[in-house]
Amino acid sequence: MDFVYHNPRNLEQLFNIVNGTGNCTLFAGGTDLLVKMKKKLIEPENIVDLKGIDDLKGIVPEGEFLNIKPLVTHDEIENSEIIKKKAYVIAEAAAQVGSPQIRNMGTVGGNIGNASPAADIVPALLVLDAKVEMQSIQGQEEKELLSVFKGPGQLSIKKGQVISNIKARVLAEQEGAAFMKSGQRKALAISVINGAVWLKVNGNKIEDVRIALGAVAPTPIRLFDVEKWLIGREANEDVFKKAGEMAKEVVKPIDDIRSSAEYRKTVSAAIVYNGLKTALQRIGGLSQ
Amino acid sequence: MVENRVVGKSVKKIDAKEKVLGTALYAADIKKKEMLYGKILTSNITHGILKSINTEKAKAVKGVHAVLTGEDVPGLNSTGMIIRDEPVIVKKGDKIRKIGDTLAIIAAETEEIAENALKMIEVEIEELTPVFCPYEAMKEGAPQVHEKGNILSVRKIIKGDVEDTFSKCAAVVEGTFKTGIQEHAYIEPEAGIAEVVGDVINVWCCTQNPHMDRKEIAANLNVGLQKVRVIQTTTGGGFGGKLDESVQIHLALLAKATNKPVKMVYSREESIIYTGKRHPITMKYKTGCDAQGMLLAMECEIVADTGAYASYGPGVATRCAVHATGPYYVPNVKITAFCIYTNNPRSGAFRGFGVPQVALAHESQLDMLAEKIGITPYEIRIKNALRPNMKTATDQLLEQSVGITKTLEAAKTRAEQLLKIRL
Amino acid sequence: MNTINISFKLNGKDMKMEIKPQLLLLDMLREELGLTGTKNGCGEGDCGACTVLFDGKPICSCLALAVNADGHEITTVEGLGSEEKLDPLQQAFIDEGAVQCGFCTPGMLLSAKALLNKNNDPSDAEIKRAISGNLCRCTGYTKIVKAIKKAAKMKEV
Repeated sequence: MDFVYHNPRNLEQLFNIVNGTGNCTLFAGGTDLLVKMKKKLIEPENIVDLKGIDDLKGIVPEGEFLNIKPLVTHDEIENSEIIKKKAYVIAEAAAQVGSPQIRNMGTVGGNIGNASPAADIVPALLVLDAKVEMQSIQGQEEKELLSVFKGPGQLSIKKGQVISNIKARVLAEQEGAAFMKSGQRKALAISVINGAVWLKVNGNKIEDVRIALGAVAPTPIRLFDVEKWLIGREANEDVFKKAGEMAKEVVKPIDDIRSSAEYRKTVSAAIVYNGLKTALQRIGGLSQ
Repeated sequence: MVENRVVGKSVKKIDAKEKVLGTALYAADIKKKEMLYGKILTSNITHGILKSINTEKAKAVKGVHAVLTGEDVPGLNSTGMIIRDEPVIVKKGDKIRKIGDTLAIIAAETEEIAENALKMIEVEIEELTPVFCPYEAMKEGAPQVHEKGNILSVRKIIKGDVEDTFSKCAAVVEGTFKTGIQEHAYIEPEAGIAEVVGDVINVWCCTQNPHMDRKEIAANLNVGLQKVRVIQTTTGGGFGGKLDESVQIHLALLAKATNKPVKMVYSREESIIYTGKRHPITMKYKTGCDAQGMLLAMECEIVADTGAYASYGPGVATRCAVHATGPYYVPNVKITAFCIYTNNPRSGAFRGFGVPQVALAHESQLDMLAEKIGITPYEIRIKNALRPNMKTATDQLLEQSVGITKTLEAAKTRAEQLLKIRL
Repeated sequence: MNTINISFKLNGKDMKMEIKPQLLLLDMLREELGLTGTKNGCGEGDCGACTVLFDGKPICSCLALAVNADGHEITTVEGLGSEEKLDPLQQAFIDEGAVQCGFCTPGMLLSAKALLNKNNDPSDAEIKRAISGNLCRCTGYTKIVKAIKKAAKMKEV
């Protein structure tokens, strides 16, 4: 490995480096970056280590949103009292990433920035209506999380911009959520497929719903058609089962080393069905 | 009577303390003064002829102390545990038979220099049509992996008359079973260090086979056995995979050529590409029993794909034949086991030596028969289980204890507890 | 080549090093400091043989840059116990037969140490989760779990 190492201490120093230096690669947890560098899949000229920037750390509540800074590790998310209380679906996803070692190193910003279709944190954030704040020397821009993914490993981000904050909507009364993952083994598995569900009920009617799946398309996706069909219907097993069947039809996964497209379709249905069921149980609406 | 200190007692592992303290020395932990690092250039094609190899540019790289090709191997340039059929370094004009065949080895002052110098070696290869399927490889006109043909060994066990017996069986089942290739993935990748002291070559390495290593080093360096010492370092797992040669001969060659200590540590990727695997095996079985479920005859054809080199292949295929009937009494057998060369990765020893593979076949056959005649999987097994004073397929008389009935009974008890059913 | 000065705590002792920024934490420990108890098994964060504690938490030293140790505390297997005074975990691993080839042992011990530091009465499930990033290819998990459970109940040896 051959690169110039930069270690900014604040955002101003970061922007000076990013704008004044050739090709820069941002380094957060390093659990993906270092693997790619060691295998020489990428050979960065400049490594900009973000870990010295305190502004990129911490979890801060703000009204009906939680601000999760990009350097927050999966372990911090998993053990954060406020996330466990107000946005537990993210903690549930973080707890299933990699291994304890990887969770202590890998960050939420990295999980997004890496733009893997199989990122575990992303579906959980998507169902909490997450926004991403991108900052650059020119100022700040807020985007829907869903809109920043362009393809595997590709992020819609302008040169000089860095992810500076992730905003996730907290869970309110009558709202429940769940994250589910299927991997080849229990630990250290890249998801064959993953998904999350957020559900809001009024009595026994579905008032609102968000469903997101990972590893079934080049980017993480929302199942808008299924969501639309669900809104206004009764929250019950049959409806959830039908939603799962619909999910199976709308996803267009591929065959790859981890799984076949056919298997992914089948599991999509199971994730949507079980996700909806679990989310409702968590509201207290469906007896176990 | 002297009290026995070991048998029947719980004994603490002799080197456990060093291991928990982290002071046990594995090969990669050893460092020597003025030590060089070894790296290998390997083929990335499965079948071909090495037309030319030019190492001049690599030799000229600052910090490179030696670049060796097949011409630089003073001895046999051939290794192998049962038969020597694998080149230590493929010589110009000779055949490449798999991905990962060694084309050149380098010793340099750092691993990075060695890696960069590898890229400067110019290689010309004439590609040949490879063969990956052992059944294709057995056919006439198939690409020949070795001059002597692709059928490396055939083992037959014939007892009684299966044809005649099948016609008298109450039930006969047939099936084809396949197992996949498997990597040992011992957690310590291969590593070693070699140093010439006086006229003796010392090689410290992780290995399961130091005596064989010594023999192979001596034969390929063309020196007497007394001039080679192999010291097994603490070894981080082997499971059969460290019975074959990996870094040993290459290190000895490099240490001799440079007159400096040379260390080589495989990356995980190199370990997987260069070293042996578990044989993938195809098993065609036909088994018959009487109305009570007593086995009467078994016929099977077993084809083990040993890949590009024999390694322990003939031994593995023999064990497949010997254990083809499993732990059951079968009076009539016709067993044929082939060991076949292909251009796949070399397969060798791996926990069980072919026996786990055939277990898939004979156990499936027993289940199929039990279903057909309407008894339980447990019943058919306990009825046919070998017991003392019975004979195996090869007519070996089992004079002492045989553990299978006890095992079956214990498994039944446990299964009934766990699954809350009666078997 | 540029170098960077870092200071950190290693196994309880203050350290100062001048290193290349490209240096991996694993390589600093093994090659520069001679602490070869930390192993390299896969080099990509899958096997856990290179596990060290970073401010008390297990990380893969093969995926960390040495510069990131600056201002932090690193614990390796060499910092757990000594020939004269083993850590209860080390003693329990010996007593329970939880050591086979031993290559995963240092990483396994450190993951277990991190667990016991925050939980002195872990369940089997908690232990299994804590060591889920450490592969034992000899497959001696049952004894490892038993040893960790035993160590949790042991006072200083």
